[in-house]
Amino acid sequence: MIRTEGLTKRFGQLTAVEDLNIHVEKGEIYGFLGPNGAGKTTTAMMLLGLLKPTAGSVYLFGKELTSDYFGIKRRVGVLSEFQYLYEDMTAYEYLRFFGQLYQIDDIDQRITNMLGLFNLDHRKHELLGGYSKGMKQKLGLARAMLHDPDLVILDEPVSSLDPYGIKEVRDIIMDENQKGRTFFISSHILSEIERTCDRIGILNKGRLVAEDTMSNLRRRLTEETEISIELENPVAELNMTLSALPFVIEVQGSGPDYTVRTKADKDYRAEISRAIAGAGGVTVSMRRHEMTLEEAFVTITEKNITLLTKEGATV
Amino acid sequence: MSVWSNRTNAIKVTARRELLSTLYGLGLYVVLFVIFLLTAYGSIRVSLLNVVNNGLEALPNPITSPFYLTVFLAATYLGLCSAIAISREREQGTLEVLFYGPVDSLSYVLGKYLQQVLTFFVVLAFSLVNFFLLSQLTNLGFSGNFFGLLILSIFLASCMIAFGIFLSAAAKRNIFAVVLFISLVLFFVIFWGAHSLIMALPGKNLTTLLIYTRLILDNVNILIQWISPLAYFVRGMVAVSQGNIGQYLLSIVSSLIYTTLLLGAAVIIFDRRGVKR
Repeated sequence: MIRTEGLTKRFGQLTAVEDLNIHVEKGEIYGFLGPNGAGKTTTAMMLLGLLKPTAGSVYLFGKELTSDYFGIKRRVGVLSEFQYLYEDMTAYEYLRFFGQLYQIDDIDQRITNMLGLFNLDHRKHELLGGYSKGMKQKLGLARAMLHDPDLVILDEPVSSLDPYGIKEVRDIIMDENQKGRTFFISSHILSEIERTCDRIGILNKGRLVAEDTMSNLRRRLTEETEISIELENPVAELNMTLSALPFVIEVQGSGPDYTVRTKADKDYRAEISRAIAGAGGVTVSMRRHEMTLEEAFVTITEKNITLLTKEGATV
Repeated sequence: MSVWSNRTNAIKVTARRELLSTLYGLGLYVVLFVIFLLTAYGSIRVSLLNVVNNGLEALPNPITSPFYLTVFLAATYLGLCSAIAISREREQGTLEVLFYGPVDSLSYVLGKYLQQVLTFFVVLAFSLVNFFLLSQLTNLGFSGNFFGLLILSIFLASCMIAFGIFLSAAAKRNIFAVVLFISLVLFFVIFWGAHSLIMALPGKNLTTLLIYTRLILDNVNILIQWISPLAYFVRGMVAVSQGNIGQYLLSIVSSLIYTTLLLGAAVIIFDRRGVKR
């Protein structure tokens, strides 16, 4: 769906994006993360042809934008971070205008569906100048998906929404993804990216420093994992039994509650469970503390770690 | 769907939105009202002055002249609107959103142009009704060259609008586009007046300074004849007054070339500047 090759953008002395190679597959929800000024918006603008790259190429649906400008634009829906609307129009008129631009068949039905989906149908005849930030954001999303695009590029899609709005939009994204729509989401709200995205790309100082699934990123960023165990009853010498396991680094606790630190190369809960059963214990609960995306993001960007090889493949 | 079919749709849809926004707004009507008042006041004042000075009213074009003053002011207003059309939309960010969709630089610029030209037709219709009523009330008729100039005025508006769009594409900020447009149009008008005045002076009585001034103005005028949107209309007016059909058609063709060149330049500049705020 999206492929960039050596994509670079320089503004004078400043390199906003450098040698960016990303690959978004059909049907994926791809999260694009990075601190402020990392080059996310510049990248999105280059994907859409609104900024000319200094070097490199962008391919959408396997084609360069110049080879089929209108055809490609008709298959892409875009929501920008800030909502720039014609404030002298109503929501209905606004969507109708874009519906006519995209030459959608049965515009009225489609507008009704989108306004209903985003819960804006009761305010469709009000001027957009009177809309709240959240409503404007939802209308922007409705506009981005009005023409039933194959690829949707979203920049901070939930930044102005309240918790209900966030859930509403998250559910819509998941639903639409189930129908085969591909999403490219750039966001600062890491918890949302973590919940929604299949794969994540992290951009730092204009360079892609990580691109993988969330679980792989966690695995590659941490050397140890902490597992909390609750037993039905204390088991004699369980500390020694668990410490003897080759992957265990440390065991703490003596009663029915234990904390075990293991290597992070794989999930060892099954092995630990078997060892406890072998020692005569009954496991009531076992919880693995995983690194959150926020922790991974901070680790990668603050320490400027790169998890990509020079060729762009994951390490 | 072909590229031109996509472009045509984008031109049509964007022009329609802008046109409806203009027609539903108050701005156009307020400006037209002020222009009508100004031209009516101007024509009455000239008539009264004639009566006071000469004891009689002897105007060659009592209705046609104020009508063309109206058309000129309206065309200038639309040129000014064009000058802010692109820069304002760029500043507001709505331009960026349009370009997420199936709109390219050429279709956008042509959409803006078409909208302003259609607005001019609305202005022309209002002006015709206004002056027809004035003619009925005063029993003063339109002169014979009225329709020739009426057609010419469409091309004056076309040049003014293209000039405004060109400045708008080039300007970084809305305010620069407005100031630049007003300054240049004022300069062209003042220059045209000064040049006409100095050329009308009898050659025998000129001082050396005036001879040099005349020479400089005449040479600058050669350049301004090509860059001023007003010059094409003036050439057409002269052709109409002389009954020179060939020159009249040439002024129309050159207006079209001027419009095309400026719109083409606007597209190129627009492409380079991009749509970002």
